[in-house]
Amino acid sequence: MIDPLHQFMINPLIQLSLAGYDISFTNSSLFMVLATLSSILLMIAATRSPQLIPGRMQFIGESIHRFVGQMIKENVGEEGMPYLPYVMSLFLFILMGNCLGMIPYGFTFTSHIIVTFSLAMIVFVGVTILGFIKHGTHFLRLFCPEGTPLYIIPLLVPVEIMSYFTRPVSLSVRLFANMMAGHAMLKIFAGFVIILAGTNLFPVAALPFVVNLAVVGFEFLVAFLQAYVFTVLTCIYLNDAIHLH
Amino acid sequence: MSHNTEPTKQPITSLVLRVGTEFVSGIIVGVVFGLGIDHLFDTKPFGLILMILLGAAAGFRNIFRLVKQSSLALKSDEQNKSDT
Repeated sequence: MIDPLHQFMINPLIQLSLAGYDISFTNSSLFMVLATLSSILLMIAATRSPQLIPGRMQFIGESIHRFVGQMIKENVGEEGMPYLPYVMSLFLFILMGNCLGMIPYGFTFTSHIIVTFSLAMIVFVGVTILGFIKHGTHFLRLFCPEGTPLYIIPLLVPVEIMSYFTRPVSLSVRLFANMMAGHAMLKIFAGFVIILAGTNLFPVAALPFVVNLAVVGFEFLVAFLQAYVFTVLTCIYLNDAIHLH
Repeated sequence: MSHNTEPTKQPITSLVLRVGTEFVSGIIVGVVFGLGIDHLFDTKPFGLILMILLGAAAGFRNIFRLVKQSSLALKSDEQNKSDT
């Protein structure tokens, strides 16, 4: 009855298949669509009637825009501003996904590694292509920083190449692990409440309940922080591709 | 690592959350590459051994970089405080 991992199950809502592949519309896809729609709706509501003195919705929209813009300026500089739409959509998509997962009976699509890995691969492939477009083969200098002593190059270059390939993995594992661990922890403490309430020690059930309340608050912090970390790292990688040390 | 000499200001919690996964991901990439090389060139098990070592080295390099960055940020914070 109390299975903390049951919440991560993928259930197909509409069965579809294309050329032998299962492309069913699942609860995960539903929440991705919801996350996209809610971020679009938020931005539409924010820009519906622009005024000099912003209203509530306009203020929220402008705050998010300024927040992401500031992040890019700090990490990349003015040259990074053309990439603002991409970074901001990424931020909003992950933030909305994390927050929708906090609604009871909701589904957290960021708790599946394939989703976060796809997001990270888009960043990784995009940044690599951008680096090659901006600098050509000179981009490979990234693997061999200037002023490296000659005798250390055979060791340093493979390590740097490996370190470059850890980027998408660390990006995706971090987001996935934090979301999954947090939500499993919520369910485990909730399970304690139910189990203890059924025994004759039922007043003790208040303890895990209080802990659970604290964990819910902590989860909201993690939901925001992980979206932030993902976008900050995207900015740092963009910076590497644009400026190349 | 970053272009501008001024270190970026990040909340310390986000740095703490990053350190663990940086190292683990190094080893994951090492295992995947090692298995791939062994599969392609039939060099079982030397590709795996070598790539895990390289992956661990890359993980340590990531952590080293991160800590260096954050210590720079902490230093500049202290300087700002003493200036004012």
